[in-house]
Amino acid sequence: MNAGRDVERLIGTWLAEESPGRAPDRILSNAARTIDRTNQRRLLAAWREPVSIGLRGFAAMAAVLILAVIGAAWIGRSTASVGTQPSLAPSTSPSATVAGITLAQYRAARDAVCGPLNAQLITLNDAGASFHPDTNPGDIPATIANLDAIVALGTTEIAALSALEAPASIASEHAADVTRHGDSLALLSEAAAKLRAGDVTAALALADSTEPLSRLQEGFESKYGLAGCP
Amino acid sequence: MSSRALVERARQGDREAFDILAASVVDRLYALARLILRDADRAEDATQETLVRCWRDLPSLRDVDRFEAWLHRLLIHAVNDEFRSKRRHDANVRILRLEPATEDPSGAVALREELQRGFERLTVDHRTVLVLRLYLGLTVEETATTIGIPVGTAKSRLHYATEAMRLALEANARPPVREVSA
Repeated sequence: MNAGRDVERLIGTWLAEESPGRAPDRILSNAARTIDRTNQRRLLAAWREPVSIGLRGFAAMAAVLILAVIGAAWIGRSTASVGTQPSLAPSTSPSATVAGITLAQYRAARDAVCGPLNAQLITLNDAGASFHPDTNPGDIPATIANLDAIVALGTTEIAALSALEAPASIASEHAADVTRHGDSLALLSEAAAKLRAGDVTAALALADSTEPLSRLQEGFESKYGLAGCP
Repeated sequence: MSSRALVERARQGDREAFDILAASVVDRLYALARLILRDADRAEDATQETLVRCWRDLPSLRDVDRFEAWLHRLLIHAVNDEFRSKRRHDANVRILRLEPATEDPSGAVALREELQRGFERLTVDHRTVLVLRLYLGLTVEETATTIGIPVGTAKSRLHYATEAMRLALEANARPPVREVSA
C-alpha cells in the first residue's frame, strides 16, 4: 500500500491544473517602475542574511579592515600633501594636516575602508544561512553569534569612517552618513538582543527598519560616486 | 544570449539584460506565488517584490549557476512577507462557500474542491514544501535549500503536509454520520 504516494500524485496533478499559465503584464511594468528608483548592491542584505563565521574568519575580516584603515590613513596623508608645502613643524591642529582635502582624496580614503569590507560581506551574503521567520530555532544561537560578530565588525568600520576627513563642502553629509551607520548598527544590535530573548518577529522588524537608513546611505554614495559601504 | 549570460550582465548592472531575464521568469514566479498564497492580488505583490529584490541584491550572487535556486528563495521570502502582512486583514474577510451548480458524476469537481479545502487549511510553510516538491519537482534537499531550512525540517514538513491532505481527503470521502435517536 502506498497511500502517501497516491496523495502526492493527486496533489501534484491538482497543483498543475491550478497553476495560472501566464502572469499579468502589470507585474513586470510595476516592478520596472520600482526598479527605476532602486540602486543595486543592497549590501544590507548581507547584514540581514548573516552566516556562520568562525573565529578564524572573523579574525581575517578584522585584519583586512585594519589594513584598509591603515591604507586609508596613508592615502589621505599622501594625497592631501600633493601641491602643498610640507611643513617641518608639528601641527597642533588635526584639521591643519588635511586642509583642502579634495573629493577625490576623500573618495579614495573612504573606498579603501569600505571596499574590502564590501567584498567580505558579499562573500558572507552568498554563503548561505539566513535569518528570517523560517529559521530553525536550533539555528538561532548561531545566528545571534553571527549578528554579534557583524556588529563588532561594524563598530570598527564606523570608527574608521569617523576618522576620515571630508572636504568642507560635504563634511556635514559625511558626518550624517557616519551617524546613519551607527544607527543601523544599533538597530542590528537590538535585533540580536531580541533574538536572544526568542522574539524572532521583533528581531526581523528591527532588521527591516534599517532599510530607510540604507537608502539614505546609498543616496549619499551615489551622489559622490563612492563605493558601497555596508 | 544564454540565461547565464543574462544573469551575469544583469548582475553587473545591465538593466536591459535584467528586463529580459525578468520576462523569462515572471510566469513561473507568479505561478508559485499564486499556488502558495491562493490569492491573485497577493501573488502579484509577492512576484513584483521578488523581481525588485532580485535586481537590488543580484550583485551579491557570486555563483551565477545558482541563480534559479537563489531566485526561488527570494520568492519564498516575499511570499512569507506577503502572508504575514496580510494575515490580519484576512481575519476580517468572510469566505463564502459556493456549492457546485452542475452534476458531477465522476466526482472530479468534488475531488478538486476537497484538495483545495485541504490545501487552504495548511500553513503557508506546509503549502510551500508541497508546491516546491510536487509542482516544481525539486528534491527534498533542493526544497530545504530553497526555503533555507535543514533537510530534516523539510522532510518533516513534507510528511506532515501530505498526511494532513490525506486525512482531509479521507474525511471528506467518508459518508456523513447520521444521528440515531433512541
